[in-house]
Amino acid sequence: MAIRIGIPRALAYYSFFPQWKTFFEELGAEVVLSPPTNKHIVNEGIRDTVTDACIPIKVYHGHVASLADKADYLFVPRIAGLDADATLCPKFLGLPEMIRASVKGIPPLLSPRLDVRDGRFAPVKAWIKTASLLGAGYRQALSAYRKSVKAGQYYEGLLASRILPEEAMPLVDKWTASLRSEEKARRSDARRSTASARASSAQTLEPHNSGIRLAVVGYPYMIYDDFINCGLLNALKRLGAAIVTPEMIPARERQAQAKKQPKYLFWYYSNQVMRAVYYFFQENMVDGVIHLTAFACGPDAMVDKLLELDCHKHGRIPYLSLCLDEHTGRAGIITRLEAFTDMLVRKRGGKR
Amino acid sequence: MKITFPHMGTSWIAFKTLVEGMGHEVVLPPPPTKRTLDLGTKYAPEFACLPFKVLLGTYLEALEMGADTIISSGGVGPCRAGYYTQLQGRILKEQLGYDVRVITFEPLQGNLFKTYRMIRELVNVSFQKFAACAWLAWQKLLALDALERESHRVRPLEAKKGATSRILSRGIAAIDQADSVKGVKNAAASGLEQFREMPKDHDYEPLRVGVIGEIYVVLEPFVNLDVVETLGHMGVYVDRSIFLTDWAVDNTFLDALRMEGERSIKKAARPYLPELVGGHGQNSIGETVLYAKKGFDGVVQLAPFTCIPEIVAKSIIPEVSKGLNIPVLTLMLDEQTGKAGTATRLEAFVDLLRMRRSKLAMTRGETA
Repeated sequence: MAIRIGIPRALAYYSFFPQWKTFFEELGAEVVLSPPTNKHIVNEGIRDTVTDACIPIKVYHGHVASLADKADYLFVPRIAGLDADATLCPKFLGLPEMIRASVKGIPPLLSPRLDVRDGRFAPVKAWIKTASLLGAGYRQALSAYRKSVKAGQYYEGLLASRILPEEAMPLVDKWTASLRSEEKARRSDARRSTASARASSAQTLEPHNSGIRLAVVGYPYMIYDDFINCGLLNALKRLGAAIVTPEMIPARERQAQAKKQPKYLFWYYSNQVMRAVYYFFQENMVDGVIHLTAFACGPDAMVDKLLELDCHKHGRIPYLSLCLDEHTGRAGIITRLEAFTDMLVRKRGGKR
Repeated sequence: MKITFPHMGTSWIAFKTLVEGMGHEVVLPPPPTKRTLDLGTKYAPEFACLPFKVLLGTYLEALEMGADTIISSGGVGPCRAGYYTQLQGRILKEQLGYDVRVITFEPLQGNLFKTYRMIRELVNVSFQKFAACAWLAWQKLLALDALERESHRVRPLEAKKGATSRILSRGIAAIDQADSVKGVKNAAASGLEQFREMPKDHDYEPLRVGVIGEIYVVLEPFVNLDVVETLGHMGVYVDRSIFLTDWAVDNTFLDALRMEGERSIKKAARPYLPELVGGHGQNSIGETVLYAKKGFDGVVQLAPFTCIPEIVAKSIIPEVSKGLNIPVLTLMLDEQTGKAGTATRLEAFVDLLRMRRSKLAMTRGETA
């Protein structure tokens, strides 16, 4: 039987799952994904973590617990650097140890240290080492790594064409499967479904009628986890707003905004948020900014204030900061979103 | 320029000497009070950590007193402290409309020339004169740390409650007043002498507790609600893990020379947390390990609420505590924390440690 690798559906999952999945599947392993966040997972997470942890970390612990008896290994990487400018939140850095200390009765962890700042080949080496733990040879690991990187790039491209992660992931699956098979039909099939998804996402996210354009910024694991944020994206769509998120801006464009930061923040995702917002401002893309943050989030305490000051500086763009935790109620969020969008519509002189 | 700087424990004495030595007027940062905290809390982000709020409040008070320049330190993360001045500067200037200059000293990483230029620009006097003042400031820091260290040792033994703190504050004032290296040394020596002569309870063997955590809350008694003194009055010998001089030597010189210093702490932490998590997160783990190995009775971890590195440490400390059999009490401090509540928790903790010690002594007696 194939080795089962458990991957928690939380934190960096939203950025890298297609890449990780491709890597492990190329090695002949079976990837087990935890279910979408639900009440049970949140409760498990709260039980296992210290009270001071933020909701994404609590949820991550819950996902890990839900995979306890379903996998032979758990993939809990230590992501220490994703670009040259910054590291990540300390909780990413100490994640494997936190998991080991907090969640009982789990399978062994696969925790490669991924840090691009260690040198060009550091991530490759880390992945190959991980593969060798699973009994794969050097060549097989290298080829799996190459394919996984390609899948990751394909996925990033899909996000940049404004497809949401949960919709993009099946498309990546189709695409990688078509690469494996020699049939032309399957390839064109994959291409077709991607094209149609692109078209439909472009349609749903374009501002329709008097619709307003909103930037929803924050960590991918806050924006795209429908349970934590009480279905925020859908609620906004229902209110007639067009949405852009940082991931919908190509990485290159985000990087080009870096020069507007007097000092880089120390956390990868926070930098991405700031840069994306600067890009929205520059291209005059949004009427308002919504920042999703977690209760007691350390980096966001800085980002939130910076965004507030920057929105004010940039022509007083309306800014809404939504702070989420395990007690957040759907009704409260919807009310605040309604009030915010109403205010924006009125500001434009439109009617609901 | 009228310069002010962060208030952290007794370090203001040395910074005052240093800034005056540069030929500038000093606006002494007032020791933090309830008002400082209220001011800081009002304008700081809600989830900024306590040091951020207290410092912002301190700056606001110093600005009221006429300061026009703030000097502070930067950092490279992942702890938020490195971004403090950036954000505090923007809050002061953009939100509150102050005309203030914020000068941030970043760690000496490569860009020596920039740091040199910054210092050159700040220093109004001849280099020799400045060097002499810097040396005096350093001597003051050393003297202050020596006095404080000794006070932690003798406080649990004092026969009359409060005697130690009185001698300490007199000594601190004397060091502040001294204007030569010789004067500083004399002040320190006389303080140490008074500690020696103070009436003590000699047959008492105090509990030994290590205090670990984030540097600002460990060093600033207002913020940590006088944890060190409170424990001392309960008859506990407190070993504070952080002293500014050690920290400066470890982080600026020894590290650059690849010498032992904090390295032993980091090494001790490695089995539990092999990664630097910023701030004092990894140190907290390492120090707990070392205290356990040195046979301490317990450890108190101090951290500001929402401090990420210390939350990581707090998650992992139970492993250390169980593995090496050392009790750890974590105190998360914020603007809502009350002194009485903290004292109660410390009392309970100390009671527990006393019982544990007598139990251990009994089992040892049985086996012997």
